Amino acid sequence: MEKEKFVGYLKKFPNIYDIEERINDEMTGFIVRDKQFDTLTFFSENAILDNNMDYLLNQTHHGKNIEQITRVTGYFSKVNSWNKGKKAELKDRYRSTIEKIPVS
Amino acid sequence: MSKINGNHTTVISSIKKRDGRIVPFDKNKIIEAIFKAAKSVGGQDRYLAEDIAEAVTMYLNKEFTDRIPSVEEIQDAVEKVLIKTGHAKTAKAYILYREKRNRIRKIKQGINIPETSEEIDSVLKTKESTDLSLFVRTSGEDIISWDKEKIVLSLIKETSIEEKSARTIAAEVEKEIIYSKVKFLTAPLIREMVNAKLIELGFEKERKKYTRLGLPLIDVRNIIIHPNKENANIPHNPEATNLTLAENMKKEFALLEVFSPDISDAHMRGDIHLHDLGFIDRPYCAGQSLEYVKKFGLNLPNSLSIAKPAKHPETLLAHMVKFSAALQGHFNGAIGWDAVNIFFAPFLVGVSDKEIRQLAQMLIYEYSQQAVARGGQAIFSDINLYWEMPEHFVNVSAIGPGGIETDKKYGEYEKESQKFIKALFEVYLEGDGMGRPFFFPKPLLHITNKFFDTAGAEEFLELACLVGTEKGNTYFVFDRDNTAKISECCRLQFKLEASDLEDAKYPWKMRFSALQNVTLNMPRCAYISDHNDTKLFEILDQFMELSVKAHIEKRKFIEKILALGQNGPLALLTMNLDGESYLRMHRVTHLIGLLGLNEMVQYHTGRQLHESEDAFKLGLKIISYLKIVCEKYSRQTGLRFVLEQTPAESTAYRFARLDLGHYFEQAKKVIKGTLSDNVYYTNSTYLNVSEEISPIERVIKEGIFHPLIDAGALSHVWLGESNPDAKTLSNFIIKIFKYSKNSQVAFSPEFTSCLDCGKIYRGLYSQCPYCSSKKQGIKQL
Ligand SMILES: [Zn+2]
Repeated sequence: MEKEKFVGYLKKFPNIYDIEERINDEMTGFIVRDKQFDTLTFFSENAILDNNMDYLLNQTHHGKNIEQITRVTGYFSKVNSWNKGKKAELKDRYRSTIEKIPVS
Repeated sequence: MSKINGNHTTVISSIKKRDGRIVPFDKNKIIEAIFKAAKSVGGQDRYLAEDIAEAVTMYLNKEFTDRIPSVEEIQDAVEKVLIKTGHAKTAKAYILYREKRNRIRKIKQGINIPETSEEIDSVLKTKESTDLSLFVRTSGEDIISWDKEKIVLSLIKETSIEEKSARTIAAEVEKEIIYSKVKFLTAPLIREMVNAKLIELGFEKERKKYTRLGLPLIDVRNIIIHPNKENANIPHNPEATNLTLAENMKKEFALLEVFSPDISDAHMRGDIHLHDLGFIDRPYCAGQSLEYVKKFGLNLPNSLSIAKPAKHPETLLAHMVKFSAALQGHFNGAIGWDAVNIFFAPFLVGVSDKEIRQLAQMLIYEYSQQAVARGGQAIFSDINLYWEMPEHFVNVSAIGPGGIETDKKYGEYEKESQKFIKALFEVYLEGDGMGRPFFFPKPLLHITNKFFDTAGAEEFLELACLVGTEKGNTYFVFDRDNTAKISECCRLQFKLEASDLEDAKYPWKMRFSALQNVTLNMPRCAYISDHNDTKLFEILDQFMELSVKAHIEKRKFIEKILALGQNGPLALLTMNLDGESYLRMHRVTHLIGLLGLNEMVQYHTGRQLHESEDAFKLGLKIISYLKIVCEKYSRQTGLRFVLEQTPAESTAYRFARLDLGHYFEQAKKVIKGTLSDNVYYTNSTYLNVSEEISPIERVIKEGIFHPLIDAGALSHVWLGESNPDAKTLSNFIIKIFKYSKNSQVAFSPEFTSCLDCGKIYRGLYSQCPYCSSKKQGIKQL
């Protein structure tokens, strides 16, 4: 996609993105801060040209746009909404492996 | 060191006295006046008075650039600055001091000073009409002019205070309002001022009755803008924030009005936890029978239209879901349905496998996607399912399309019933559109002794286990030796007693409810009793007594609103289609929740449940004792008290946090987590979740407690990333059924779902492995 379009789009959401021109590894391009995911991403001008908007925006997530799902106590839910105590318990949970469940 | 001594430049150089004379401005006089006022309320900091006087001077410099301020104006400025800088007490003292000086001056001038409140009234009234145009924003969304009489009337109406006192209070409040010089008043502000006055004059009881419930602006703002962390299930949207706001207010109402002060205090302290206070006007959870809907159609009070009994399976499904949604608006917790596949069976005669599969899919999607209940949540729904035809239904007359009996018994519908349950589990196995597990409805697979003698059981169990290991949905419920059970919310089960089995002949009557759940802070019992055996049980007794009292108080409140019948808020639960009201109060149970047995025993003996035989035995002794105490109270009150494994999504955290505050030295020895704020107690009667105990040993050991916990118990096997094969799990299930007393088991896998690329991973990742990988010309820094 066109570089101007990409930059223009990001500038429309100053609460989410900061964007700055930068040279990285001898490539000219832009460095983008994504405040939702707390990430910094460098896009070379060529990379911007070669990819579409959806793809480029997803790159600023660094794979953090995820939902973790498991059973809280009595039902399944998304871990990010658990309280601190439940998150601490989740960290502690001893996970049984297949070998530990006897077959006979 | 004073900032104001020395040659500090001031623009204000002179003031106008009351008699019109112009005299030099003297800041020290302001300091003196402020310090005098401060001293009268215990203040001793002269420098502070100097600082405030400096602020007053600055204010005057700004306000009076082109004219000379009067004494009155300077005094106004002092009041304003005192209030703005948070010195409310001093401000009040200053106002009183000023008033007193005025009086003295007027007496000197021979002006008659009103002494009684009536006289003050009339003076103020003239003042009001002359130099005040005061408006009030009312709670009825109107702006009206100030009328002190409204305070008098509301005080008398709400608190039954004597008229004379009401008038004095109203007059005093009016005086303060006039002195404060506000132009716009709100109803909440006036109420706060009246309450302050009630306290000042010793009307504590009346103050309580006059309380206004609600939230500070900052809390409301936070609730509207930020997600709710209290309930893991509540989405963040406008409907959800409505729920949170309403919950907060109802909670305050419950603690103030429904429960007596000792119970409310016990809850606030964290001796016991009164669950779902924000849902004070609802019973806790409900188990229904599809037969009710099949027989009577959808005929709900106050609804806009009435549907006759369904004739087609899709219609029956629609009725079931709509009734669930209506019920969810009347209960806090889960809406369970008994023997769903069995009761659907008469509608499935001659229906093709493809259509049955379609119906199963509709049922699960309807429940999992309906975000209509309680703040835009999915309906907390459970469907109880059977592969075999359980004995208590075999000879029950079946109800078919149109609500008409089919001349057959349910025993003759085994084939249709099995087709449906199989289809349901196949849908669970597929998961949602992204392949993730469905959160609701939860399938509770009951296994009775007859299961193992029923054709196809082995193959079906493997399917249910495949769902268990792949998606985790299946709850395996063990109904050994013909104890029929109906499961409600997380692990709440109702053991069907003789009278219930009698109900089974009229299966539409099989509807159950638990009215309330009150959970005991068990570790705290150990802290208080300080290793003394006798005392340990005494404290348990005390907590039990509080819990029983809490139950009785909630019950009274529910009975009160139920008694309003068709015009009351619980009209739905009073509907009477079969000779008794939908909610059968004589059958409801009262739950005593267990929390932190492991830490209780650990503090008392120095060992956790899994660490020593003695610790485990003490645990058993405690739970057996509590069961006996429940039975004692049941006999005494005629109500049904039963033990429950509290789900404790928030209570395990709340109790731990409160105990870190109130019993730090004791709690820090046993509390789980990382001691800052990330703390919890082990749920109910569970063994420590972090211990490497083999699943079979854990399930057997935890199962020893289960027969004592009448409202149902559950063991978790956390699978995490591991994905044991279905055959392994089904052997495991058979073994548990045969060789343990465990009453329910669930397997919990973990998933990470990437919203960018749509991939699902087994296990918990903080980053999608696919999306965080390297790309040409793009660098994640
Ligand atoms: Zn991804």
